[in-house]
Amino acid sequence: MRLVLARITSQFLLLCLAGIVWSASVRAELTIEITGGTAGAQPIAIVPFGWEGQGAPPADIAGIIAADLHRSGYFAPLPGKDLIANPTEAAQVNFAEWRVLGTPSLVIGKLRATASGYVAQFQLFDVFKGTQLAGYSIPSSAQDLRRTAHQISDIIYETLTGQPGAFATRIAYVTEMRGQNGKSRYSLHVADADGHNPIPVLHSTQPIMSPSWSPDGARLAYVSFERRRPEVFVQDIATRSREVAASYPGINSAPSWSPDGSRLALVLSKDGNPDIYILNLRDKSLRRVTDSPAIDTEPAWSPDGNTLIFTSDRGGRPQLYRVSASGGKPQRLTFEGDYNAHAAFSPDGKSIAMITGQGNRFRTALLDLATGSMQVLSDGRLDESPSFSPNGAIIVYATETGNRGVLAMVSVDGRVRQRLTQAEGDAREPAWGPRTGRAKP
Amino acid sequence: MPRAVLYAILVHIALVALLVVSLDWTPKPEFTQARMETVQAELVDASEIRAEQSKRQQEEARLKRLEKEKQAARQREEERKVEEQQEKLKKQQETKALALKKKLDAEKLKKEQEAERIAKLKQEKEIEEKKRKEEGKRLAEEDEKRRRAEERKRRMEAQERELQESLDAEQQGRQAERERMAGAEIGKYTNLIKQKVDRNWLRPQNAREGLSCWLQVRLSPGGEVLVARVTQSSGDVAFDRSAEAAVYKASPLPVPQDASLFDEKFREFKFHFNPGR
Repeated sequence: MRLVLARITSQFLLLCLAGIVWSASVRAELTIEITGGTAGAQPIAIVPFGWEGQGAPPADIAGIIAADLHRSGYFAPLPGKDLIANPTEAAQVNFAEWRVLGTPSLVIGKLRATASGYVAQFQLFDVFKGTQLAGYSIPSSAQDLRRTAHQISDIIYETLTGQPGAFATRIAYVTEMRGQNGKSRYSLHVADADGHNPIPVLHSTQPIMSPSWSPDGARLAYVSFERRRPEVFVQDIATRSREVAASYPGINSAPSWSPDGSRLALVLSKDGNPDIYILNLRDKSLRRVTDSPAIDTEPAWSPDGNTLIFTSDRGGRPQLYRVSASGGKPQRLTFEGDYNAHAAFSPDGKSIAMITGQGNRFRTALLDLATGSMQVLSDGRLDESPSFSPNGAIIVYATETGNRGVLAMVSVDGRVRQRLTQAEGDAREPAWGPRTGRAKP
Repeated sequence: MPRAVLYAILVHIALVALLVVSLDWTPKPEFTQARMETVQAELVDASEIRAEQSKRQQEEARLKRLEKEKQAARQREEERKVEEQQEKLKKQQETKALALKKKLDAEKLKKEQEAERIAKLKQEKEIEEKKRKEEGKRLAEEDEKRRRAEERKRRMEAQERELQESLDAEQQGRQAERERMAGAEIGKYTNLIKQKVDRNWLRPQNAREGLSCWLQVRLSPGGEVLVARVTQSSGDVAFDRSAEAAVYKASPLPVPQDASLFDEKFREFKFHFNPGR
């Protein structure tokens, strides 16, 4: 006891002495500058979900989440073999164990069968702080399990990046299947954003083109040749009811829904050669935006609805031009390369995705509208029809591989590219649908 | 001046006294004559002639005698008068001379007094001069003394100061040495920590340029990261989290063994994550 006291006293004295010495000289708090580091996907451990029910689990929720997060380019989910434990609830988590892995985030959860369907429960942890960052129980059903998994991905994404996720969204695209008789069958599909759960909304023996989502995600505008000439249709996805929106003489093509949902920008050749028009969907009134002897096509609305970007060969080769939605003189946007087309605005309106062609390669690229700098994102050969995810993190586009048209996605930094799985045939002209309500339950 | 006034008064008194004496003297003969005339008018009685005659003869004789006496008296008087006159003149002259003398004397006295005064003044001045000179000398001496004392004091102080300064310098040297060593230690461990955190920092993809955030960390004496907390956000959740993760992943951080140095600098400090691309 006395020894301890003596030690404490001497330590105290030492401390006092140190205090005197240091207080006289250096008092400012130490700041260490960290300027290095490497940019990379953030590791995240996603433990396979527990299953409380009969037989095999109906879905690999953890697998769907991991694939979503990986596709975003922001995350690098730990491979299953690296997972050191398989906790399915908080009490089983030993944070010290997970800290050793150096993975800052951990997702656990379980799927439970209930009388009416399923309940998916998950928790997101900060491994280093040992705290829960998010946790929900989401009721689901057999056909909604994938969507539920995407919703969980959205929650995780938003919690860890501060940006809303866009996994629980849908894409529309067109497929062409060649039948035994050599005749093609065209279909318009709506699928989950990861390409799963494709649902056909239209079949036709004639080409279908250029699907465009209404801002509320309830309808699609597209071009159909079903009456042997290109006409623009608008179709309700849920009810399948549809109507002809534009059937002027000549070409009716490339519809693009205005951000406020009241108008369609489209291409008509009724006055001679293809030019850009705006069709008011309420009163069917038409306003001409461009008037040139060249081909003007593929109009795309800026998110604020004030501007259109379109493709035109008025300069000899297809290039992108910008024009006010109320008309006026278009300004050329692209000068690099001999082919720039298929513009799509990013949700923040600061950049556009496009297809840039050099030689016989057509690749997906990102154009910064402020600086005019262009970054090629893909290494495809024949890319087409890029479209942004609603959160602007990913671009979906069509490309060709092995003489087959497929859909692919690339993170906006170009680091993560992924082909979407698809049964057969050619897929083309993807259009990413809007976010239809909060992903959080 | 008062002396001159006094003399003047005295002279006047003398003159007045003289005048009174002469007036007093003159009316006496007149009184005698009038009585004689009165007596002559009463001489009428023949009986009395003889008597009178005789008397007259007697009288005449007496008168003659009287006349003689009178003449003698007159002469005497004249003489006396002349004498007196002379006396008076003499007196006057004497007085004058006296006055003159007095005046001269006074002047002389005055001159003498003046001279004396001047002499005295001169003497006084000389004394004063001497005194002043002596005082000056004394003061100069005192000044010199004081100066010397001061210089001595200054020298001593300077020496003391020098001594103190050298002592201080020595102490400061030791302090500086301590600080230098501490500084070197701080630098060394700052660098080690920086390197380790840099190695462990995985910045998010697509992070906007120009992001930076501040973290406050608390370590255990072994360098174990107890708390790493963003105190000033970059505005990007993923960036902030990556910084926190980097610090935790780098745990334990290399820290100095010296307990006081650890306590002072490394128990709690800040990180500034600033890739500044």
